[in-house]
This record gives sequence, C-alpha cells and structure tokens, in this order.
Amino acid sequence: MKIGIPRALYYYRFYPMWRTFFAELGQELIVSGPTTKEILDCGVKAAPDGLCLPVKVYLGHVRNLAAKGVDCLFVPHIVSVEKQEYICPKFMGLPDIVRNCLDHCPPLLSPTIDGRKGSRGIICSYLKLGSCFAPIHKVIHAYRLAAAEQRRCERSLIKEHNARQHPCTQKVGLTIAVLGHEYLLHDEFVSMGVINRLRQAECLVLTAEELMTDTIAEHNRFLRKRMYWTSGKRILGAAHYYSAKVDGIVSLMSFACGTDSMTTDLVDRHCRRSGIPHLVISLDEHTGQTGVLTRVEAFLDLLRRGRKHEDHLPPYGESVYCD
Amino acid sequence: MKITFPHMGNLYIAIEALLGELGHEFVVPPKSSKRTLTLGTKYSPETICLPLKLGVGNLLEGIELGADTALMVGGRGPCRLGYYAALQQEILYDLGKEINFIVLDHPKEDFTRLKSQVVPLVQKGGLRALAKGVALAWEKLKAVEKLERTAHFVRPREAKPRATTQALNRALQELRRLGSIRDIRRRCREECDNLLALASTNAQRPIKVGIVGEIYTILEPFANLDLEERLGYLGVEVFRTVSLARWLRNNVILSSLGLYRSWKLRINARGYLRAPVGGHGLDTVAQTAALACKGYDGAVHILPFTCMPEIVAQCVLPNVSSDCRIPVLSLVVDEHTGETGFQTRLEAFVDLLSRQRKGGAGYEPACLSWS
Repeated sequence: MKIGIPRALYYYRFYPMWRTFFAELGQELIVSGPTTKEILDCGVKAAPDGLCLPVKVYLGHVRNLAAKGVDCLFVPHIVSVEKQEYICPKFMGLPDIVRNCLDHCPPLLSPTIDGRKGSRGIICSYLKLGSCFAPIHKVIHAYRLAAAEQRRCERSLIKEHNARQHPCTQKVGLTIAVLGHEYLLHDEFVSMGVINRLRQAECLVLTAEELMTDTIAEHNRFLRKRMYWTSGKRILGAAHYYSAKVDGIVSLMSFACGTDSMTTDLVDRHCRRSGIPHLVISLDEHTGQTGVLTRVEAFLDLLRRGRKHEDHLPPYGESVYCD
Repeated sequence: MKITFPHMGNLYIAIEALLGELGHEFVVPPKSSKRTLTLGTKYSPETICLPLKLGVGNLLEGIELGADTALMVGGRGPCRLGYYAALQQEILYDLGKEINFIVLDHPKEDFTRLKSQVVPLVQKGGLRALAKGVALAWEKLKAVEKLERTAHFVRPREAKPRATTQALNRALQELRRLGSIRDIRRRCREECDNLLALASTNAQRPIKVGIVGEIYTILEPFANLDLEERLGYLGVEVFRTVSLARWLRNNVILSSLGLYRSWKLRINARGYLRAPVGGHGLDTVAQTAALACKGYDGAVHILPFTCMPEIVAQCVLPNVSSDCRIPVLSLVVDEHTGETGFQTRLEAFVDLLSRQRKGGAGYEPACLSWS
C-alpha cells in the first residue's frame, strides 16, 4: 500500500520514526515535495482565513499528495506526545480539518496518539495502527526499531551541539539561537531560509532540538506556571538556557498561531529582563523575502556593532530591544 | 486584601456574592468598555485572543480602584485560558503593578500553591461562610441565566421597544443586593413574570437562532458587540447554547468526580469532529448539529480572532451546515469595534433566514462567513 505523508507539521519531528515503522511493515511511503508557492496557495484556498500558516501549508501538502495518487494518507490525530502535555488544539482536530476542508481526499490513516498518561498510550496506538498491516509480533518489532531510530536521530542532533560547544571550535562569528516550532524553522520556504541566511552570514545557529530533554525541563523552572504545550516548553526552556550563551535570539512565529502568541511574548519578556537582543519574525502567507532579509541583516549589524564597542552597548539610544 | 477579578458577562453578580459572604473586601471593575480594551490591547501580546486583552484591561482598572489581589481561573490546556493567569502576572509585573494572584487552578497542577492561595481566601469566613457563599453564588448565577433566557424570549415579542433590556438591567441590579436563597428565588420569579408581561400577546412566531461558539465571547456583551440584543431587536429569538451554570456543573463538579463524559456531544458531532479539541470546539459542532435537529432557523457562531479550538470548529462547520441544512454565520471578534459592519451582516443573515422560512424558491442554505 502506498501511504502518503505530508511534509509539514510533525513530519519534521517524527519522520525517522514513521519511515522506519512503515518500512518495517512493508509499506511504501510517499512524502510530498518541499513546500512551494503552489502548495501554499492550494492550502490557503482550502482553509478558513483564521487558520494558522502551518496548518494551511499542511492542507496544501495533502492536496499535493492526493494528486500523486496515494492509497491513503497518514494524518495522525495527535493529542499529546509527552506526559500531561498537549501539542495544540489544531493537532487534535487535524484529521477532521483535512476531511472537512478538502473534497476528494484519499482515505485517512489517523490513529489517535495520546500520550497524556505516559508513553504507554503512544505505544498502544502505534501497535494498533500497525496491526492493520501485519501480525502483532512483527508490529512490535517494527515499533522497537522505529523508536530506536527516532532516539538515534534525536541524540545525533544533541551530539552535534555538544561537539560545537567544544572549546576547539572557537567561535568567530556571532552565535544566534533560533527558536520556533520545528515545522517552521526547517521548512525552507515558510521560514524564508532564515537559518541558512544566518549561517551564510557566518553565524553559529543553535536551535531547541539540540538540547536534552532534561536541560529543557530544568530551564523551564523560571516560569510561573508549568507550560503545557510541548513545543512551547521546548522554546521557553531553550530561550532560558541559551540566554546566557548567545549573542542574540531570533524567534520565528507564525501569524495566528495560538501557542506562539504566548510563548513568544514570554521569551520576549525574558530576553528583555536578561538583556539579550531579541528579534521576532512573524510569518504568514506573505512571500516577499526582502523584508525578512533586511530585518535579519539589521539585527546582525546591531549585534556586531554592540560587540565591537562592548563598553558602551548599546551604541545608540536606550536599548536594542525596546519597543 | 482587596480582591478584583475580570468580567465575563454578568458573572460578577455571582462572584461578588461569594466574596461578600467570605468577608473580603472586593472591587468590581467597571464594565468592559473601550477604555478597558485600549488598556488591555496596549499591554498584551499582539495576536493573543480577545478575552485575555479584556481581562488585562479589567484587572488594570480594578487596580486603579485600589485592588491588590486578583482572582483568576487556571487550567491545564490545551486552550490558552489555562495560561492566562500566569501571563497576566507577567504583564502586570512588567508594568510595575505586581499584585497577588489567587488562581483557582486544577488541583493536580500544583496543589501546594493552590492551597497556599485558597486558604487565605477561605480562612477569614470559615467553611460555613464558604458553603453559604457558594450556595448563594450558585443561586444568583442560575437566576441571572434564567432572567437572561427570559429576556431573549421576550425581546423579539416586546410591545414597547427597548423595554426588555431596561427591565432586565433593573432586575439584575435588584438581584445584586439580595442575600438569601429564598429571596433570590422569589425575586427571580417575580422579575421573570414582569419581563413576560412586556411581551405583546399577538406577536408572530419569531425566527429562532442558536448562538454557538466560545464561551467568553458569547457571555460578554462588550466582546460580542451586544450580539444577543441586536438579534433580538431584529425580531429574532435567541437561544444561547452555552450556560455557565451547566458548564460549571459538568466540567468542574461532575468531571472532578469522574461522572461527566462528553459522549453526548461526541455523538452529535460524529462524522465531523471525533474528539474534544479543547475549549468549546466540540460543543460548538455538536450544538450546531443539535440546533438543526431541534428545528432552529439558523446558528450564529462567534469566536475571538485566533481562538484555537473554535478555528477547528470553523473548519468543520460548513459541512455541518450543508448536511444538516442549517445556515451558520461565523463572526470573528477582535479589537475592532466598528458596529456597522457587524449590524449589516446580522441583518443580511436575518433576511436570509426569514426568506428561508417563507420558503422562497431556489433557496439554498449556506454557511455565511467573512469570506
């Protein structure tokens, strides 16, 4: 069976796992191509206008896959991936959004992934999903391999980070932490290539995925209340951790994203209090890249100037991040 | 300790009864106004939902009147409401107006903190006062909702224009000063009879419209630009599918005992939304389908801009509308306070409904929206 996976939302987090799992079960996977203007337009047309950008992009990818002739689409109904946490209400309604916004969409493979009560719920839902394709002992084997692959990939990111922190790799340029949902950061088209632009400008880019879960949890303690969105928790923990280590923080948020409206504000308040320059880039259907480019360049210029004249930072006015 | 709290429609009547009975000083902030909104918008994050902005405005106005403690609710997701109190604390801290917060959070969230915040609230009056306060607040809440329901029924039928709203406001103010359950019940009955007396006897059967959507925007007349009143004056009998008393009974009392299940909603929403999506998303879809079965002429869906659960519902509603043959008007509210566009859309919707009732030829029920 040909199973389609849209290259959007949690593809950017769980693809290693999904790929291994379905491959072990002998299913063929088809991933939609990287986001393009056509895909975005397609999604924007199908969705109500108040929907956030990533979900619109997701709908575009689903359309794209439907045209490719897949047998079914993997659109999981993800309630939670970590204990007592949520992703976002839109993930909880994702299969329903897809079904109701798009006509003629292929059948959906949408297991309920609910890890609110611990990882057992997640395992059960994968086993249930797998048992549609293969006998249970094979499914258990596939799940084990998939989970191991996911862990390996996550760990390799962390390893990379630790290697970079090593004193041998003396930093020459600026160190910038880029924070945001993984599906925004790593989608070249949607994020307008902010990460690559920063790298081209000889910056060392750090993201939240490079931190261990323990570090994130530890650095969430500065909050008044436990953050109950998984990605929000990561972003806030990373902001707190990196604020002592980087020259500046760039937050990518999508317009009309519910969780971002809160987390970005909390990050901003934290940066302001600890004196870290913070740039917020809010992304929407707008595809003109020059504005973003200019802002990133200006931000880097300010950081460089601040570094050169370290004694009297900031070199003008009151502060780099005043409103 | 002088307590203030954000507004949500006429909920303040119940809260002030509770706080009064517990023996605390309190400040009821002025009703939400343009000033509240301006204050709230100025200090809140840009794309956050309207209830937070108005809440911040209410708290700031309460502080201006001398409050030093705020009473808020908490939650544990996935809707943003659960984080409101924490964010409001941050906002007030950055403004240099840090006040104490009493956050009625989920007991499983942080029990020690909950205890440390709630104990001083109850200590002064003791448990007996708490019991009486809760009973009184509950009774007032029910009375308020009954009066409002009656007003919704009477408004399209009223003989003298605008008399219902005046009578309702008078009745609500009367209710505020009552101090015993028996008085409240008697008064509520009397006032309901008074309201019903305002209806003209030979009125036609008005169009019936259900209001679905996010609870705050349904209950707070400032946020929804007096939606219910406007519809009433257009000759529409409004039915509010959200009731705060019912919500508290189901989601606070029964669900903490493990007795409340959302199966009824799930059955109604089957085929459209399979599980709760936080907030009132599932309720919206289920209630819209239920309204169609009950023979309502239409539904008005109201939501704050960027509300996460209601956006999911909004994605689904066009299909509910066409399958169940019930016209739905989705209204998104934000800081925008221009009334004319709002009024025009409502008038157009009511026109559509009345034509549908007359059975105009070639009529196709449609989901109206911004787009």
